[in-house]
Parts: sequence; structure tokens; C-alpha cells
Amino acid sequence: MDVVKGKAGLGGVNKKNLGEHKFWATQPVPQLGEGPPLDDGYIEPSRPREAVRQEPYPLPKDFEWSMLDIDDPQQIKEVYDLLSLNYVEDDDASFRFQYSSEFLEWALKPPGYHKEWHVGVRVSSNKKLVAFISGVPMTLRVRGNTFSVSEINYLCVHKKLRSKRLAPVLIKEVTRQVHLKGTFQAIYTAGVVIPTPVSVCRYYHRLLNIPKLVDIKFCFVPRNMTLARMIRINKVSSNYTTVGLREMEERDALQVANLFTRFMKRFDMSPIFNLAEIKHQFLSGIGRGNIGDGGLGRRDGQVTWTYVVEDPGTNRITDFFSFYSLPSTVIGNTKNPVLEAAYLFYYASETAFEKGAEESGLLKKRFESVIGDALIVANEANFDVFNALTLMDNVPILQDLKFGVGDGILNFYLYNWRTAPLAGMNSEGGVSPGKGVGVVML
Amino acid sequence: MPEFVENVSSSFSNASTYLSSVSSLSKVSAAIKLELYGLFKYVTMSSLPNTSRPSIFDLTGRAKWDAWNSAGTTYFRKQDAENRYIEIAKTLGWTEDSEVSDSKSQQPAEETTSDRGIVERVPDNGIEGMGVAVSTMARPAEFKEETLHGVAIRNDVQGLLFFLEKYPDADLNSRDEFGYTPLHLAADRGHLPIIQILVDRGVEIMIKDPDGFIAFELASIAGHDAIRELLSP
Repeated sequence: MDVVKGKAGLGGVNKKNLGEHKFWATQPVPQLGEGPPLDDGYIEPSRPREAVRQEPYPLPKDFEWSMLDIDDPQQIKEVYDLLSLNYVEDDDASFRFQYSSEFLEWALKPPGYHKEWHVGVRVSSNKKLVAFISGVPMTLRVRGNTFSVSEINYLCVHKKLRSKRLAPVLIKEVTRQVHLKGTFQAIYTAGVVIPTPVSVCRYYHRLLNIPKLVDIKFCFVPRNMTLARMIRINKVSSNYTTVGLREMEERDALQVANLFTRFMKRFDMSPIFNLAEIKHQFLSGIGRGNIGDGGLGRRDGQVTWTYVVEDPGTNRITDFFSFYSLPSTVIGNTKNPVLEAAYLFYYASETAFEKGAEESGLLKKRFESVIGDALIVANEANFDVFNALTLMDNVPILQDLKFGVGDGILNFYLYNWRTAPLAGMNSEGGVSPGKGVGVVML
Repeated sequence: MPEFVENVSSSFSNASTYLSSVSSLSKVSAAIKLELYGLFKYVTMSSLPNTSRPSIFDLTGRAKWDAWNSAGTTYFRKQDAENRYIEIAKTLGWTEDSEVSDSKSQQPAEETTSDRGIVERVPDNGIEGMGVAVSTMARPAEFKEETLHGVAIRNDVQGLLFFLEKYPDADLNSRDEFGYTPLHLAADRGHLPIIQILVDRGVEIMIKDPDGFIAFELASIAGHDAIRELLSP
């Protein structure tokens, strides 16, 4: 009676994904239902380079491996084309992520990236790119342990080849490449449940451009109101509430790095960024030319927006926020073909270190002000919606900033690492919702 | 035990094991099965579905989604959903000390224990969906209102004509519990055919909604030009 037991759902065992569960049963990941570990640690030990498989995994005939050179505009374009036609869609197939070339360049080339971790599959005869998976290096802290991981993302197989079971071999091949560089852990996310999520977060949406969002059926007019009222109650103010808000500049990098490092210790899992990585994450995606060149409120090719709050008295950076642009194709809509979505990225505030700031609600108030300003910036850059997950300090502010609950969830996974569940949409082991997860995946 | 989330009560897991193996369940109505399904998903996964609502071409998937969503909106606390599940299990013959037959429940739900009246639709995006997830606003459960306002909101022309025939004296300008007339709702949602019928029947077009807008203004704000022209005062 699988219906009663809910097994037929995403997380369950059923005919079709039994093969996948068989695949994951062979991988060093916690298996479903095994429960939290006594101690945090790896599942299988690291190996010297010579003990790692040296030959690529075999592909079905007619296909070949191809390392993608992300410095080559032509090859970035190939990845862009593959993803924009074949990548993640919602269940109704109404929206599909449309990562821009600039976005991919930003996401795939952080400091110390390995070109060997940008793994493609081509058709042997015509060299068409038909599958892709990527990893980028990151230093990750999970509770008390800090280690190198590969952040795995953009697993994509051409729609016509979904029956060829290329995904498991892509995962194995990128894992081999990661092992060859001496890294044995990974972090990744998925909308679907596979063995075994370390945390589950839910998407929330702050609606900005209501008429368009209703037109493309991103949201609906609730029974108890009209579009006119929906527009009114979601209207974004144009008055910034923090004093000293300005765009982050190169000269702020050290202060931002310092604030970020201290702030992120408050979460059970977070990345550790050095100065070069801070500059990459928050400054390298600002685009070309002047604000306005890429449309209202944007530079040409702008991917990230990072703002700091500078105390006018001390000139110290007290807060910062960032968000990135990730549009989606609105499938089959000619009037509004693109959904312009902003996603909340990292942020921090000195207020977090004031005594009792969380208990008294002071921190919540500060973030309502800081992230409220992020909404204004996004609104003025013509974004249609501003998205956030139930992670970091987001949970308490979502309601007051008029975010609505989304239908999407994001599962977080660790490869070859065991740890007890981290607080995402639900609290875990006394940790408040969100505070387990301090990693934003792109 | 099957692949359970840890923090469910042993009563709940025993009850679900019982329900998964008991044979008399084949006689249970689809409505009860759906409710059990929704409650189970709530307790073991999350309060609300983690996907968007399946399209109307996937009746089963949609019914299951609705059942889950309904559980999530009905029961504020997980404990309440769990209690309701156990309550139903008791009506189906489960007791606290029912024997747990593990052997059967551990089998992957493939052939023998599948379906029972509810056909599965299996998502095939699988691990090919590794990456971040696409999300849209969660859709509230819809109730089909068999009222003038209900037919106006869902652009149900047949329903409207049927209603008008059945209740020829119905007040076309009546307000719903939120203060809207059928014309307000149809003008806001952009349902021209409904508006045409209402106007032909002499509906009052200058009534203000709770925000002070007349139907013409609602259509203008929503960009429904044809309606705007029709209702121009």
C-alpha cells in the first residue's frame, strides 16, 4: 500500500527510481533511514593519487568525454545552450532556469578552480555537447570540522538522452576527477530527494512585479482579493532604511571578509572564504560599464549585487548584503518570455555580535531593514521576484518582508561525510530553523 | 522499519506498517486513502508538498498533491496530523498492540502492494535534477464555489447560465464574504464572456469594491483592455 505510506513520492522507493537508489547504495553517502551518526566524519578514507582510478569511466558508444574550457566563450555558450534548453524545470514545465554566460563564468571559475572538474559529454560524430556536470573547490566547515570539498552543480543531460542513464556515470567521472585533485568530500543540492539529505530548505518568494507574475502564472490572485489590492500591498517602498548604504567596492573587501568570517560561525555549516574568494563572490559579477547600461538599475552582464552599510561616524562596514540574478525561461509565453528572479546570497551584520541581539529581536529588526533595502535595490533593477530559502537568518524576517511560501524545496547533501541533520526549514536538535545552513548554492 | 524519518512516534510507524500490509484496505474508499496519503507525507516529509501542483491531465498526481496540501493546511502541528493518521488507522482495525509484520513492509513497493485503485505517476526527473530547484508560489487549495461569485471567478460560462436559469431572481450585485460582486471578480480576473452576460442582464457597473474601485478600474489596473472598453462608464 505504497500510497498510504507515501512511498510513491519523491523520497520513496518505486519502480522507476529504484535504479537510482541502487546507484546511491554504491556511493559513500548516508543511506536512507540509517539515522544520525555518533560522530561526524568521512564514510570512506581519502586515498593517495595513485590509488584513484586513472582511466575515465566508459560511456555508451557514440559518446565521448570532453573537458570544457570555461575561458573559451564558444564553450561557455555551449554549456549555456545545453542548460537553457535542458536544465531544471518546475513540475508543470512552466519555468526553466536560464543561467547566463556571465553567471556561468562567475559560478564555475572561483579562485583555484580546476578545469578538469568541468566535465562534458559530446556525441562522438558531431561533437555536440549533450551532458554536463561541474565541480568547484570550496573550503567547508561542518560543525567542528573544516575540509576541502567540491561544490557539485549543473548536472544536466540532454532531454533526448534521459533514458541512457548518463547521470550516474557523470557523477562517477566528476568524482574521479575530484579525487585526482586530492579532494574526497562534496556538497550538492537537488530539488528531489536522494539518499540522504543533510538538510531541507524551502523557497520563499517576495513578489515585486505582480501583474507580470500573475500573467506568467508564477502566482495567482488569492480568492479574497483583487490584483489591484495585491499590487498595493506588495508595493516596495523607495526609501532606504539603513543609513550609509552604498555599493561594495574593492577597498571594502578586507572588512567584508572579516565580518563574513565572524558572522558565518553562527551557522552549523558554512563556507570559509579567503580574501580572494570574497572578492570573487561579491565583486567579480558586477558587470561591465555603468549602472543602467544593462537596463534599469543594472550594468551590462551584471550577475551580482553587493551593498555595504558604512557607519558614517566610524567609516566601519557594519553590514552587507548580496543577491544574484538568475532568470528563468517562461516556457511558451511570448509576451513575457523571461522571469527576472533575484536570489538572496550572503549577508552579515555586526548587530549579531551585540549582546542579546537575537533574543531581544534587535537582530531581526536589523535584517528587516538591511534585507528590506535589498528588496528596494532589486525592485529598482526591475527584478520580478526576490527569492530566499529558509536558511541562515532568513526565517524570522520572511513574513514581515512579505515573502510568500513557495512550492519548491531544496535538499542539501554531503558526499562522503556524515553529520546529524542541520536545521533548514525545520529546527533540528534545538537549533532554530535556518541556523544549520550557511551555504548558498548557485 | 521502512525508510522513516526518525522523529515519528512508534505508534505512527506501527500504524503505517499495519496499513501497508493489511489486506482489508482494498475496500477502503479512495477519499480515506488520499487522506492517509496526505497525512503520511506531512508527518514523514514536510507539511506541504515539495513540488508544484500537477496539471489536470495528471488526475492522480493532482489528487495526491491536493490531499497532502490539504493535510498541511488543516493541521497546524505535525503532532495533530500524526494523531489524525492514528485515529483513521484505528477505525481500520489497527490497535496499539497490533503485531508488526516487518517482512512485508520492507519490500520495495513494486508489484504486489502497489496501487489499489490509485495509479502512480512517478517523477522521472530523478538525479538529472541535481542543482538548485525551480520554485513558484505555492497554490492554495481551491474549492469549487457553486455560487455566482464562484462561476465568475473561474470563467464558467455554462455554470453562470445554469445558475441564472435556476435562480432567475438572484441578485447579480450581491457581495461575497470579501465584499466583491461577481462583476468585480470577473473584471479583475479578465473573464470577458462572464462580463458580457452580466452586462446583458443589467448588472450594476458602478459599485465600488472594498478598496473603492469600480469594475472598470479593476480591469484597467489588471490590463484587461476589452473589458475596460465594455465597462467604460
